[in-house]
Amino acid sequence: MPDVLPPLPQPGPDNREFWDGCRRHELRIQRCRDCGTHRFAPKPSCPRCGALACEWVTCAGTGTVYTWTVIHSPTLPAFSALTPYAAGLIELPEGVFMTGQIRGVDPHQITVGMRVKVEFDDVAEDFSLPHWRVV
Amino acid sequence: MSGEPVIIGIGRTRYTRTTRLSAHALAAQAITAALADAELEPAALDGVVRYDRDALWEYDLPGVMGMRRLTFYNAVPFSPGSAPALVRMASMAIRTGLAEVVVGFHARNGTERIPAVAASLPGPEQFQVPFGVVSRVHEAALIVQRHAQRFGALDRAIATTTVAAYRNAARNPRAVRSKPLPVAEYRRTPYVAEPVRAPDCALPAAGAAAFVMTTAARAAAARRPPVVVRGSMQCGLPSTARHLCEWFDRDAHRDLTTAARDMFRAARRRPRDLDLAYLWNGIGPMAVLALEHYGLCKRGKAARFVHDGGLRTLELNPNGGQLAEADLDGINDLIDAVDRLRAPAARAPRTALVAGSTLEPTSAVLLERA
Repeated sequence: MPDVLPPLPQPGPDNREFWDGCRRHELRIQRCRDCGTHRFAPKPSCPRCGALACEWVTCAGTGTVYTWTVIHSPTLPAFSALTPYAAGLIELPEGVFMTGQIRGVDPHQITVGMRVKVEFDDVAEDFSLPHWRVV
Repeated sequence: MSGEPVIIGIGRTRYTRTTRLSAHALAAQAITAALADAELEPAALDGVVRYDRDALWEYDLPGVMGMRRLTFYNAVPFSPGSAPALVRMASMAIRTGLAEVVVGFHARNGTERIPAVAASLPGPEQFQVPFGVVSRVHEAALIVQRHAQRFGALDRAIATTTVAAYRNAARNPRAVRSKPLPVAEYRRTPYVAEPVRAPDCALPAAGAAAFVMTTAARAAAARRPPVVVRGSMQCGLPSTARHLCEWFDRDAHRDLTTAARDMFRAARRRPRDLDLAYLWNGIGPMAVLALEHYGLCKRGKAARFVHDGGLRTLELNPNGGQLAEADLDGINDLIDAVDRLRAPAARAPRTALVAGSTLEPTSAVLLERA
């Protein structure tokens, strides 16, 4: 566990399932029961058709880099030891984006479309954060 | 049209890095100056529009400013995208006859926005901040990088426009950044998040600005020519500070270009008619991308537009913008546009676009000298 924790999520009724999944190292997202569209971040209605009914499914845990940046400064104390670090948006095969750090290569070697796989950081007893490693 | 809404007065305080004045005092100064410029007494006002997070509320105004009656008031949600929406809202009130003389204002004294990040995040920022995507600069960098990967590097265009903003500010006595920045020096500055460098980011500022609007009929008696609100738009983009993934998911570019095209069409104007463009540059590269959003060039062609003379016939952020005049959430760009459009010189600009930050729900107005 890192010395200084990043600000941690406060799970609420709409997103608890996601964070509970992360703790078990499972990437859980919502799928609309009416039109079948996946969605993330968690929300109470489908952004495509507006339906309220949804189910939670487990993602494959893979994705591709959609965009990324190399972050130098300024940032929160929790991240200062990491700088410069790569963070980006990952496009999942389920059709949603997720934000996370991109690891496993020199940040300047990252390209759009690069394949990545989820990995979980156990940052606190009840919290694991999904980041991404180049495969 | 006699009921057409026009801007008849502007007022602003000094713009500074810090101040000992309250935001309330700054707002009162700017409103008083705008009324004087409009040759009106406070008693002539019947409407107020403001940001929903300003220190001075409409409820305070009758007591503070000598207003007799306040029969129209409304607030737009605070963001650096919202300044043009103040004009849009005041226009609506005047055009529909809900109000006759409306003041719009915004004030910052540098203490009202403390960027504290809570230890525990209840909102959607919990899907960004714990991962190290912490600031708006990081979010903008992700947007700019995606564009660069798709359409080619933007570094040179960013350098050109940022250096130009500093150059414009160096000629502007109101600007908080008064020193030009040579390109060679710019290239030696550190990155915040690639490709955004430290001088691409606005500094906190203090100050206030205000405008007064009424009908064209009532403005006919005024000494100075009014500025006409030819068109306006709002575009409900997701805020990148809370919904970065949704910003991409929604295709913000498409939403913006559609809203902008509709604004130009309704105004019977084209982007090439613009003499001045105030495109929000609180994070410099976002102004480069906005050239595409507002149809000044085609998608993916912003770098070419910047380098191949696009800025010869169009002045981009002539005051230095948020980056170099002052970061006042866009209100100062609006006021500067009105000021330049009212200049008496024969070659004074005729048409201006003022557009807010596209990192959140945004707005824009087309202003013209009468």
